[in-house]
Amino acid sequence: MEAVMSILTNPYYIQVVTMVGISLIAALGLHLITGITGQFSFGHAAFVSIGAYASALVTIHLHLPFVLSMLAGGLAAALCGVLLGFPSLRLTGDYLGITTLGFGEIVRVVFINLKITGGAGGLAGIPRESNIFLVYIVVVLTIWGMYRIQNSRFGRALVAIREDEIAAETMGINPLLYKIKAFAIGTFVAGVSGSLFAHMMQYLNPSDFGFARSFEILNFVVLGGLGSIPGTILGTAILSLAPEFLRFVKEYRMLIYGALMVTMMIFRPNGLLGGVDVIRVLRGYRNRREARR
Amino acid sequence: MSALLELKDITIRFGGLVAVDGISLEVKEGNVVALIGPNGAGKSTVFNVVTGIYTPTSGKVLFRGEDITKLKPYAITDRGIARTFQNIRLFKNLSVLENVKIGCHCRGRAGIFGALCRYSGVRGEEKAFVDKSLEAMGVVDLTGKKEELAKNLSYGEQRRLEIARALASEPVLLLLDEPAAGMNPQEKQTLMQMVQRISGMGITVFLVEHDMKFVMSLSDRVNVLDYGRKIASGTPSEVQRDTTVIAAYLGKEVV
Repeated sequence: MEAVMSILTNPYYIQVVTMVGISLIAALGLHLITGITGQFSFGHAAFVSIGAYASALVTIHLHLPFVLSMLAGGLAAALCGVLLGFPSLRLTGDYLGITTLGFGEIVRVVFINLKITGGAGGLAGIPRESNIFLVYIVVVLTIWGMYRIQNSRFGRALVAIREDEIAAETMGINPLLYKIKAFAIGTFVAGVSGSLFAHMMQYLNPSDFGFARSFEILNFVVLGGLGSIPGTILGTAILSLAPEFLRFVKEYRMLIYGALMVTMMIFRPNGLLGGVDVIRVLRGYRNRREARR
Repeated sequence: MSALLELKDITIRFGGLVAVDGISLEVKEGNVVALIGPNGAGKSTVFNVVTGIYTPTSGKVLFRGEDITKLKPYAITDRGIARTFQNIRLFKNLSVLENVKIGCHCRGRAGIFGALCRYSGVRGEEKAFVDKSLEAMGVVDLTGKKEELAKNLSYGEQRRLEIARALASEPVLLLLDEPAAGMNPQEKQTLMQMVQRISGMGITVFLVEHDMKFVMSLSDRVNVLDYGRKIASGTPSEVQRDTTVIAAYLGKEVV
């Protein structure tokens, strides 16, 4: 009992679990953009950073309550998402990927050079407002919201665009408008994740939000299974915790991490839960069990 | 009866290639109208012009008297034109019911806010979508397959699902691009009955088809294209006797 308690109260573990939650929120935003709508974004970390900086600055300079600065972070990211979306969501596939990659780098360089964000030295002195409970409340809210969106007229339109854009358009769906809306929600969620991050770490540095971080978030979504919420959760949990669990192999850590990803892609090219409808599987299981009775 | 759809002198060029060359034709309300012609005659291109996927180089498309030439496909669907595709374009990884529900899209209103809050209006709309979808699936005998994934259906069923999906958008005019392609005689027979049923529902049908038996027994009027030009139009029996049509299909020596 005491051993369990000491693990539960260990600040290091709490920190790790909180970070998983923050990453998960960002990943769920990308899940809507890439997994549901099928639009590749290689600059998701940039939206996280916009949310982080915006909310941190709002807290520091305007002393707003944290909930409001979290909203401000989300809205700032969503605004940038819409501004980027208008010209670039006309592009598809690789071209959109490259555009978002470029955008991510622009954002990073801007934050390095701006005075108000503390430049390359980073932004310090952010009050610690977020904690593990708040993070997981937002996680639950986000998952709930994503489920609702997926099972709605709006969500079906997004899936239709992913499956066949021309067919979607002849079904009366305006693809550009819906892609921008999906981008707005996805980047809003990323911004919220960023503000939780900022008020957790109390310090921001542009180098935390480079394209490596964007690809990491994309990995969470792709490895878990594109288009699957349980998959995104699983992917984020495994890939965020793996480097922690692999600490015992010391310098071979990232080597094993890489090998793990390659193996997963070979055996589950659609991601761990890609193409698996968890609710359908559970329903089938329940039906079989009732049939046996 | 007035013309529901009117094509006025439509020309469309892809670079140097003239795919459709000055075509004018009418589709009258309540009719089943066919568009036939040898491969590459420009039939599908005409469909793509009507549904807004291509914008013609010159000419006009009028639907219920309104100029829809430059409208986007989704705006055209909204006005009451639905279509199926020659090379089946279903949402493959979704269930049959979901495919048809997406067809209902333009007749609904619920947005992001509705998705999150799911107030009673949204729930009512969802229920109406399901009812309407089941009804559309009933027309093409797919009700029993509603939970099946679209990609797991047989070829003939996939073609019928495309029709159901188009019907769900409550069209005034339904465009069928080679609906019988790849079907066996028996499937063609059932499809013919389905098209008659759809026509009986008051929906005007405009179809492209290669199967002459299918076309001749279903259509009120037939338009014939060859090399992007309209070479004949009339009732099935008039067209069958037309020497230019026979020449286009069988070669000039036969005539």
